[in-house]
Amino acid sequence: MTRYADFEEFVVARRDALLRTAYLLTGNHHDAEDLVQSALIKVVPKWGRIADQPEAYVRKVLVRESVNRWRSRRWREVPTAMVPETAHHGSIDHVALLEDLRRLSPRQRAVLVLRYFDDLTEADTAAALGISVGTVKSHARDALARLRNQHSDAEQTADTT
Amino acid sequence: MDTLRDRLAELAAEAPTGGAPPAELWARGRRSHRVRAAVIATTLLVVGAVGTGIGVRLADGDDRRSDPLPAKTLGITLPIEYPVGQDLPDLGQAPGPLVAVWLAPREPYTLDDDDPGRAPEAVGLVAEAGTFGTLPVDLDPWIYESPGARIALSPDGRRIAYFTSGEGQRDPDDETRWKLVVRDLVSGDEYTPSFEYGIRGGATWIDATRLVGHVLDGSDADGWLWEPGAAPKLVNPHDYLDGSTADFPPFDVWEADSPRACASPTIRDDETGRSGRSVLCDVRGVIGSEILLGHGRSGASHDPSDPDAEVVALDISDDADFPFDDPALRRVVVTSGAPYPVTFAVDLMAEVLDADGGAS
Repeated sequence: MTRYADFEEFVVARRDALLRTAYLLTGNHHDAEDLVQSALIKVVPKWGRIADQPEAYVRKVLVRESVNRWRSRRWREVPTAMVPETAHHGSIDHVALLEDLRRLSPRQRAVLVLRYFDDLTEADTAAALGISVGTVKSHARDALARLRNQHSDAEQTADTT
Repeated sequence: MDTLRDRLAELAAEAPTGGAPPAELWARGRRSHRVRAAVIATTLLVVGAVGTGIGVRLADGDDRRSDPLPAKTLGITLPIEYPVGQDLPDLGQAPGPLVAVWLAPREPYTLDDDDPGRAPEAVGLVAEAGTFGTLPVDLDPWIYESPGARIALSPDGRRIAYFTSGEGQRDPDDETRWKLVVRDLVSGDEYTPSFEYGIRGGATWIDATRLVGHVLDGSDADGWLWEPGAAPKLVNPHDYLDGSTADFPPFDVWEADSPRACASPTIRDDETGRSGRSVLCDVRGVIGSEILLGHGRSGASHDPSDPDAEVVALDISDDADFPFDDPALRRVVVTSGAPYPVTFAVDLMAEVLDADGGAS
């Protein structure tokens, strides 16, 4: 199979899964699409060497790009009230979860998504982000603690209103 | 009650689908690769035009890039040979920029839990003179137990940052008494920034003048930034540091939170079936995005504690699968026998490599 045919097969089969990860990393459709597109374009020159197992490498490029973009402030900060795609029935928790994720540091968010959505092991998460397993553990611990705190703060606020 | 997994899965179901046709992505990927190669070539020519030779350090657009000594004023030739066993002179407070700093053990040295022995001494290599000497710094005897608390050398070699515990020995697990000391090696000025909170041992120079570290009681996102003339301010270190020091790596460069940080390729080795193999362990610095500085030796082991381990400048450019095995991509910068660990002024090392014909 030619390299392009390999690439095409991968994109058709896996792009939607990458978009789901990207959506959790970015919080909105446009940025998720942009992130996945950018990652797929970036891996093209490397395809000859990664074609046997492209998923891990593509995911690594994706999450690292998400961290880098956050750092350079390319992501637009959209107030909760202006997220129309989530303003439908049963989405209150989704909006809250998006907000909770947005308040995490980019690496904490990436670790959470990779570990608890993509079900990567700690070692694979570390490899994807270029950090140690110990750092993965501490990011996960801190992220979960923050989510719990934010959730309890929200409940307290609801109770008092 | 829904678990976090359930909630994330439900949220992810709202993700967009589809996108540009694969053929378009492929074409754009091929085009961007050709453009990037042209940009790199242009940047190298620009560096060459200002008299430093064809540089291996790529422009990064940082406004606070260091201003390292021009190559013609450097008194360093490669490979560097550490003066093993020799008595070294005291360099004093202001020896000028250093190319590298080693932690050299002093006899008696022990890793006994109850007795750390004598604190190591800091040995510097002066950039202009090309001479070695000891630095008058008050290091903690437990410094080997706290890798993060070692000496940090700014990219231009003009400043060192180190941590001291103040008076006397202490419990190595007690991090409450770390104090930061910064010394300007050109002026001799010394700074002891005052923090309103505890700090962890260890700091990283993000450029020639700014230093970043972590607060004691906080996550990895809770840190501080210091620069001369200003009080430390709280920041998220991730805004300044990148666990992967290579921008778009064909290899993983692991965050150096242990001395055994390794660079590993992400491809599968068809012969062994393994999906990774370390090409260089104990990464001590990165020049640009494609030159690693680290311990290793030809053959099987890249163990930095191997007494035969040299420090090499390793070119991990895109087309190299196992660059450490290719002599053309590997350049010895420090011969074997030098103490471990070492920290480099990476911008000065880039100049030294330039002057000596590059890393390949």
